[in-house]
Order: sequence, then structure tokens, then C-alpha cells
Amino acid sequence: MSISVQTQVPQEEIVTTEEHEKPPMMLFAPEDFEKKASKQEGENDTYESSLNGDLDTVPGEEKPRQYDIPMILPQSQPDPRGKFEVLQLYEGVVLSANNHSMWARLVNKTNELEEDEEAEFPLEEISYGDRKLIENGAVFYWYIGYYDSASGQRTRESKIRFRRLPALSDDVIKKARMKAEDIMKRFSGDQGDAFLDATQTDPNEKKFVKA
Amino acid sequence: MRPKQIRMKRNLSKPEIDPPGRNVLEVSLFGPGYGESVVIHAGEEDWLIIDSCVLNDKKTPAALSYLMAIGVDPSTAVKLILATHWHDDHIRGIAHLYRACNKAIFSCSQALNKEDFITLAYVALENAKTETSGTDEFTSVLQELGMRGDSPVWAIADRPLWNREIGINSKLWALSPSNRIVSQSFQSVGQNLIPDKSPTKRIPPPEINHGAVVSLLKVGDIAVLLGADLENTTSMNAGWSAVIGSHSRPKFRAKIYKVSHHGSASSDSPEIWSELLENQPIAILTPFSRGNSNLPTTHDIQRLNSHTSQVFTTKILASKRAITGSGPIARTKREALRHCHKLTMVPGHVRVRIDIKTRVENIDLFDGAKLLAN
Repeated sequence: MSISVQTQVPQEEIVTTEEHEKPPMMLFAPEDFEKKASKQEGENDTYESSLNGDLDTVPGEEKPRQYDIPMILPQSQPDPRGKFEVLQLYEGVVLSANNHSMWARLVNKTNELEEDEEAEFPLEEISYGDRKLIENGAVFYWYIGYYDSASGQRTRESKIRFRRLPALSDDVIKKARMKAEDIMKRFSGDQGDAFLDATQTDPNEKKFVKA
Repeated sequence: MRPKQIRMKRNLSKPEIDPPGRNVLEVSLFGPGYGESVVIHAGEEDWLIIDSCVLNDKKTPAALSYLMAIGVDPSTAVKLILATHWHDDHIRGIAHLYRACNKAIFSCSQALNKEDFITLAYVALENAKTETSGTDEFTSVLQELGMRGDSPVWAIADRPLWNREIGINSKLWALSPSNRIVSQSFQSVGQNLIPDKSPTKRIPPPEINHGAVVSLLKVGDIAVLLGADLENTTSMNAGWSAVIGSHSRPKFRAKIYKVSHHGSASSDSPEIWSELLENQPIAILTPFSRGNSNLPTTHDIQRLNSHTSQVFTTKILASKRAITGSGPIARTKREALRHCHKLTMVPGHVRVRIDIKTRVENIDLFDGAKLLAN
């Protein structure tokens, strides 16, 4: 789906909500949003960076355009798939799970200064395809919003998508091993009396100081 | 024996913002916020910090905020930072804290002193960029250590971690992990913890719970036992059994006890109270809530009160409330969830100050801290 980014939003385009007296974050098809949120590679292609308005790179310019108030709006042609207006996005981390439900910590990604929450989700809220991904520490995204169909019908929706982790590459493991080897070389020989090496008494200052 | 004075305050205000005198031992416990943290004045303007938690801005370490509020310069005054174990509720903000404390040595469990573990941390960091598993804190601390040309002081049972012989004598020992636990940790890390190239499996955060560092601080003739999250095991060579049974540990009884693992039954034993603590010690703890599990339980509080009448918690956790509001978000949450509650993010604060010479005690309770009674 083609999208455009603009800084000035006409008043008639702003949809206020009952709970947040501010414009909705973005308007677009949910499939596109999930791709953005779950993609792991490329700093300029994540949900976070889309909030910073760097999706729109102008050909010939080295840096993408920056916008104060990013709004992603549909083109004037109605999208046959409709559009999803995200009112609230949470990033969740699974804390525990059983055959009936899972507990998760929720971080409010719409307003990160909000306090985290803990919630119990019945498993029927999770798609069959995602249930195999439920384990302690698994990450998911929970979108709450309105879906407007092309025919004008509006429904309130809750969408939960578990993050698919990319396969670990040999390169990642190799680089991690090299970093660890380098660190261990620097730590070598430090097997217990390091505090004697790392600190000493300075008789002038009568304080412990670093060696 | 009751403390000389207990004051309950909502926020720091005069004279609470005054730093402790050179002869005063202070133990300040913060939590739960995002985790818990202990800030200790070991006399002579030397400060030690055990673990880290952050304030409700999710960034600022509570220890740093407090030291600056009372006019202490952390870049020179903090002498040691100890990470007792690598669980998220004990190390949030610890990299930030370490960077701010230029003169501090960094100490953590000997169980982490293994190349495979460090490799795992870097792989996990790459594997879970947005997740708060603590690997980002660990690798950031490693990076800072590298920049300083320092290495950690690896903590293992009965090893001294810090010492001061000028002015009021002061010394900090690790009482755990035991040799057995360190050996087992090394073996388990060597057993395929580094994952294969599975496309969807997540790398778990480091689970070295029994490798947690319990420590004992002695300042003058007053001792403080810092229980970390060490729990009991079935082995006499691990957990609290190993600490209590050690022949080489310092044999001082502590006046102040930072209760282990939020007061849970699995982290307690009668021998802690009879062998490691003075009669009627001052016990301080942070509560813990995750999903359906809450600590301390009513039974835990009764058990702790059977040992001492001075049990203080940094917070009473609010009961889980129904989702309120009438907007579309609240309506969706009510429909989709069985339970949902906000987490308490403003840490409570218990502060114990004892004059080393006169043994006069003052206990201040801030931001919701309370005396836990039956």
C-alpha cells in the first residue's frame, strides 16, 4: 500500500478518541503495520523509526526528511483492504503460561511514560499460528484500534501478533564469540584478588582510590 | 528492642536530605519500581551500591537520584557496585549507574566468569533487540569495563570484595555463590546454551539464580547481611545451606538484614536468624509481584515477624483492580483480558541510619514504605 507522510494534518482528518484527546497515531492497513513492527533488520524500517518520520526518503538526498508530527495517511484512492486506525499499541513479554492463559508484562508503546501493566490473556485471544510461540520471554505486539472497511463499516479490533525472530546467522555467533574472547583476554589473570589490584589506599587522601 | 526512632515520610525533605555523618552507617533500600537497589554509606563518605532499579521514568537509577538529592557526588563517593545476579529486577539501569560512578569497582558473580556465557549474552543481545532481558545492561557494563581497562571483581563464597582500613574499619565479603554452584554453572553454560540457527526460538535470559551473591558488610562493629535472591536447594553445597555451613565465612552476626528474595519461604531458614543475625535484627525487604505470584505472602509476613518485630517493606503492593474507564481501549481490555493491573513504578524507600559509636538508630520510611506487622 502506498503511504504518504505529512506534517500538517487538516483538522477534519483528526479523529479524537475517548481516552486520548489527541490524533490517532497512524492510519493504514494492519498488514503493513505488522510488517513494520516485526521487522528486525534495518534501523530505518521499524515501528520506532516510523514514528520519527524517516520513512520518506527523497531521491537524491542523503538523509531522509524529518517531520515534527508524523502522520501516515492513506492516499485519496480508497484502499480495497480498508484501513486500521491504531488507538493503542503495547509491546508484551510473556511472563508465564499454562494451557488456558498467559500472563504478560505490557509496555505502552503509544506513550512510553505510562506505567507498565501486567495482564492475563485467555489463550483463545491468540491465533492458532502464534500459540506455538508462547513461552517465557516471548515478545508480542498488541494493537487496539478501529478497522474501517472499504465499504465504510467500522469495527473495533484487538490484534495480537507474536514476534518472529530471525534465524541466527553464523556471522552473529562468530562476532559474539570474538567479542567474548576479547573480553576474556582482558579479564584473564583476574581470579579473585582483583580488589587488591583495583584499589589501594592512598595515604595522602586517606581514601580508597583506583590503582 | 524497638528502634530509637521511626519516622514515616512521603518524600525526602529537610532534614532528610542531609547526608549521613562520617560515623553513620546508612542502609537505604529502594523498590520495587523496576527492581530493587540497596545504597549503603559504609562510613567515612564511602558508598557501596548493591543492584540497581530505575525510577518511573524507566531510565534514572534510584540510587543515583538519591545520592544526588542528598548532595553526594557519585563519581567520587561510590566505591563499589555489586550486581548480585543477572535478573531484570536487579540490574535495571546498572550500566548507567556504573558509568556515573567513575571510581567504583564493579563486582558480580564468579558464575558469570565464562567465555561461553559472555558469548551467549552478545548473541542474546543481537537476538532480542527490543526485549528487556538484561543482556543489554550486561554487555554495556562489559563495554564500560573495557573502556576503563578494568575487570570485574568476581564474587565467590567467603572472598573479600572491598576493604577500608583507614578511619572506621569496613569490609565487604561475598558469602555466595559456593564453589559447587560456580562449577555447575560453568558446566551448564558449556552444554549447548549457545543456540543453533533455529529461526523462531528465543534465547532465554541468563538464569544463574543460585549463583546470586549474598554479601556481608562490617562497618565498625555493626554488620549488615545482604541476602540478594539466594534460595534454598536440596544440596548442602548450594544456596543458604552452603552459606551457613561454610567454615571460612566471617562469623559476625548482622544487625541489619536485607531479606532474601522478597521474604519468600524458599529463601528462608531458621539458621539464617540463629547463626547469621543478631537478636531482633532490623529486617528490610522489597515486595514482588508477577502475574499471580505475590511476595511476601501473609504466611511469609507471619514467619518473618516470628523472628523480629522490626520488618520493614519499601511498599505495600496495591490490590489488583478491575479495568476502569469507558473508552474503546478500556472496553477492549475488559473484553480481551481476564486480569490487568498497572505496576507500581515509584519505588518506596526504607532508610536505616545507625551511629557507629553510639548505636543510636533512626529508621525513615519514604514513598509508601511501611512496618510489616502481623
